Amino acid sequence: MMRSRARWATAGLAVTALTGLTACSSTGASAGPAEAEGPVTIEIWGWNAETGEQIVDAFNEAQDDVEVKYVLQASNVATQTNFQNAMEAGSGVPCLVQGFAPLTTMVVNGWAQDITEQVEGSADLYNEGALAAAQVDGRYYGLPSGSDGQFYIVNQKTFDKYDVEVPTTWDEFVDAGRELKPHGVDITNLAGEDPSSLMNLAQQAGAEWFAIDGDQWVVNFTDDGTLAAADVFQQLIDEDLVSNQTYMDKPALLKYFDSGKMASVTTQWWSLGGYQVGFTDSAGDWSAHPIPQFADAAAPVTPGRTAPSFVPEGCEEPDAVMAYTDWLTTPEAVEAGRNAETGAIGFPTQIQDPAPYVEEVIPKDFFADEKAAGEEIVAAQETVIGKFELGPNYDAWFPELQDQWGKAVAGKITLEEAMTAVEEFVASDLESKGISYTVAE
Amino acid sequence: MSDTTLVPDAAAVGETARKPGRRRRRADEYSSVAEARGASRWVVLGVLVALALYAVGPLWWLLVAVTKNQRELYTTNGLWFSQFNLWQNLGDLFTYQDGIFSRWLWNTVVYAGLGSLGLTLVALAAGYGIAKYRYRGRGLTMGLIIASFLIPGSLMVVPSFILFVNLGLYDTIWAMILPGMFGSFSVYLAKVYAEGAVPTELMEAARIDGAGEYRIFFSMGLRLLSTAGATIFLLHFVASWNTFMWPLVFLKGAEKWPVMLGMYSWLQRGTDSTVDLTSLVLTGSLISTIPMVVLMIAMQRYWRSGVTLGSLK
Amino acid sequence: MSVNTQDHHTTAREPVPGSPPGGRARSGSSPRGRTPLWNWRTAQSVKGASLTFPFLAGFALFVLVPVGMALRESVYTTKSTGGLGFGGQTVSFAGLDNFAAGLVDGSFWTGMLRVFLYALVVVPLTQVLSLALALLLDAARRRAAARFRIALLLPYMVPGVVGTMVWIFQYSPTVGPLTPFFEIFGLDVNFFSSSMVWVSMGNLAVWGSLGFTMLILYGALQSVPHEIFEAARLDGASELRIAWSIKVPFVRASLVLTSLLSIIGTLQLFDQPLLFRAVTPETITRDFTPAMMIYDQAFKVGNLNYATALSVILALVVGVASAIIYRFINREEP
Repeated sequence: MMRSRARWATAGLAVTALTGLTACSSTGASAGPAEAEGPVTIEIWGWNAETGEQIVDAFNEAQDDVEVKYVLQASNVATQTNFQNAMEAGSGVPCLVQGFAPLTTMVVNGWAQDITEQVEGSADLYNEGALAAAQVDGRYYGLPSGSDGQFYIVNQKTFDKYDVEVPTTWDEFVDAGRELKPHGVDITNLAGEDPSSLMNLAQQAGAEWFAIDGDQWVVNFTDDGTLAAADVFQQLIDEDLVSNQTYMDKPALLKYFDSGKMASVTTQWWSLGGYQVGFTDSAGDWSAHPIPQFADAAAPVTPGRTAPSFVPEGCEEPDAVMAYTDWLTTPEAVEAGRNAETGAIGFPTQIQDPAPYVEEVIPKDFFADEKAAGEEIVAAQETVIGKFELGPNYDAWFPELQDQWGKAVAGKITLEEAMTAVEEFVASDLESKGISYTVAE
Repeated sequence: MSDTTLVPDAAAVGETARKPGRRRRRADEYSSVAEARGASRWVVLGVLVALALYAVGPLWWLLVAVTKNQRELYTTNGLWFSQFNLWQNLGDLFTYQDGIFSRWLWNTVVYAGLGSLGLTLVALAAGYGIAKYRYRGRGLTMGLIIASFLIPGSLMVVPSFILFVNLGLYDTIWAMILPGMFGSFSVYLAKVYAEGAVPTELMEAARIDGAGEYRIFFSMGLRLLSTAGATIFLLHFVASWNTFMWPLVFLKGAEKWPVMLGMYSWLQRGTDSTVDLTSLVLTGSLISTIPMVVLMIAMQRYWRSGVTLGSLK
Repeated sequence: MSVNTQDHHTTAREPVPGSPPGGRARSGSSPRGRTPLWNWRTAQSVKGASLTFPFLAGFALFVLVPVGMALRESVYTTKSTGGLGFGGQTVSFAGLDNFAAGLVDGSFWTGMLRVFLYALVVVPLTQVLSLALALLLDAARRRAAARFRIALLLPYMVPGVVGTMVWIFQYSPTVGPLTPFFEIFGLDVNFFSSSMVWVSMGNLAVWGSLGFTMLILYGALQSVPHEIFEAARLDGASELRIAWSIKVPFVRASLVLTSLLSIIGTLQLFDQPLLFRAVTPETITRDFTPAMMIYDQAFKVGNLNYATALSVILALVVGVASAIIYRFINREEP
């Protein structure tokens, strides 16, 4: 028992590790330094242990203007902690930090500097989603960073076996769930701890949880888009068409995904490797499809968010950072990011045309048709939205959203009630922080 | 507030310190009589076996898990072996990220070793001083020590960080070693032991021989307190071996990390990137636990008769 | 557990140098004659006191200073400037406002009640099990005892992160061995369900601390003079009776201490609920325990001022609870 005290101390951050288990976003690109008179030295903080350093080495070798030093952090949470502390202490602040939280959070805390001038100079290197994601209130506070477009993989064998059409709209998705249920098959999995499915669907439905109106925030967690998204999930939950496996229990999760009892799951390119390792029975049964659309959508849109890397206030070499970031879009940089052990590369989702690289990120023997899967992944990337404003106090309200989502998935409350509760929480938190806002009617 | 003293255990500690060999023999004689006999002996044994299984069972799983590759880990029965993949896992562990795991192990040995040594010295001196001398402020010291047990850990993180940056300790190995050297619980332990293990008569005798107070402490007190010292050393060594929140905040680059922070970072990696290092983490956990088990067994003679905490008074 | 502990030290069994028998220690002023203000006894106790200086210096620097800095935070309040929150922050003095808010914060006190109820079960359970283990070890053959001691201590040496990870694999309803195990007895147990979450957390806590608490109690038991048992045995007392009437009272002092440490740890409950939050988010909310709420306020909501005030309140509650329990256990002296 004596240990419990010491352990508690470690718990503070230690255990955030565990909450991090569900985090799926924020694989922002690593960032770097830039050019100036003579060699400029800049420091990068990130948690890319596999290839962070070798990319930086390649960059240092490729040119003489900027010298980059990569400081490896233990994790996303660790980066946030260390960075927050460094800013607090006002010393040892790096020039480029891998995005550990939504960009607006960085701006509100006074962490990210305005780099509009630098980004606009090389905007043509990046796709629209990447540029959109780097802006807050019309200014660039982040570096253009690719959002991983969501697509969905279906167990084609299961669909064929029960003669169910692969849905293309969310209404069809619910219908497919109803058709599969009598066979003991769930249409998908909704983890109770991970509200990101809801955030993605709301983004796709055009929801706007936070908007800027002059000098105040307009908060709206119950707009038409959010309610449309909530309605899809509410039907799935009410009719018991989904499972609620947790990401914490990975063996169980993979076993269940692999069992043929789960028909589909939305995902992004970097999850495929893990699925391939975990799926022993269903390998080769899967196919990739565009994510279902809302029936009234004018054009297909793909949800996808990112937490862009940014240049902290106090860094004096934003040009050097931009030079490094631009270099990351080159074929040499992508090649430098190849993992020596697995042979895998990072999919450069920020560039205009990532198609030439897609073949490299498709795991072997997983899809029934690898070429078609590659095309779907590229297509998802072309229509990705990128931007979803999460307001000035994301860190505060996200745990509340988690709580409410958990209750809704367990059937204790409806999703509409959940979103109303989150909205109230956001309002009271903004109030206490002294930030102006209105709640939209 | 009544006074639960620990006259008997304190006396025993003192005796152990002085004549460990003899006391053990004596205890053996007694216990051979005290032992349960016949049927009750089997009950005792049965319950002990059940509880030992409870303690060790999950570790058996860990032992089995490190012999499997990632896929088997997720897909085969956790309590029995599948293909034997241990050597491969060990190879991966020591070569991953240019073999940084060995570096982390070494760092941990340095941090835990130096920190525990320093703490042991500081705590023994303070505990001995509090137990064996009467002076103004002694009560206040004890009050501070006991009150500090109540401080919630999270309260300390941010202010400590600012402090360390100002002291120039941030991102140095001293940030790992120095703060741990002033643990109040260890001082408390040392005081309890010193009350029992250092007879005032001996100190008086030494004084009559003309020894100064410091000399008495270094030449006699430390020797008499070796059991206490070993206990304090072990407890802190285990705690600092396992800690990773402190280094996470106070060390910047991976080169300086201790092993648990490294394990933590690998574990985290699996959740938000393309790679899943669970197998490596399990293997690393097992390997990094081994030095501690070895140390515990090597120092067994100091804790075989248990750890004496005494009472709060 | 109290701060003015020194008054009782005069009951120590041996005469203490520098202090008049039965009187309170006071260096530099002896009751017999206050003439030599600096005599050799005084010099002695000053030297003795100086042995604690390294500790006190470090303690002041690494504990008291940060605590002071933290306390300072608790009487301020931080607000954003500029409507959108982009304009930086202002800090203003708030007096005891944060404390006042904390005292009437419903979710904070609900969490407090929760951990109290949990502690009511887990603390006695750990203590009783550890005590039973210590008594059993004491009754086993020496050689066997040595083996069991190592086995029982192994969980203590396993880092918390690793232990937690291992138990998640055990609990897993799909792949863990526990669910099939309980099915043998016809029980359908899901360790990840809302109703079982307390049991799952409690087990993790007990598993991690059992061996160590046992070691402390065993240590206390070893110092019971064995002559007493022999006498009792000759009088025909049963082993159980000897254990209950002789051994347990002897380890009472240690039991008080392990219980208090256990209570302090449990009231600050944090890692286990945070871990199980992912598994049963509908039950374990972000403010489930006081410590979780403090963490949420400090590192998520970003209200360090309020979080610090809550920490102080928590520390006070834990202190008061410890004092009450200490008195309660010690009321009936053997």
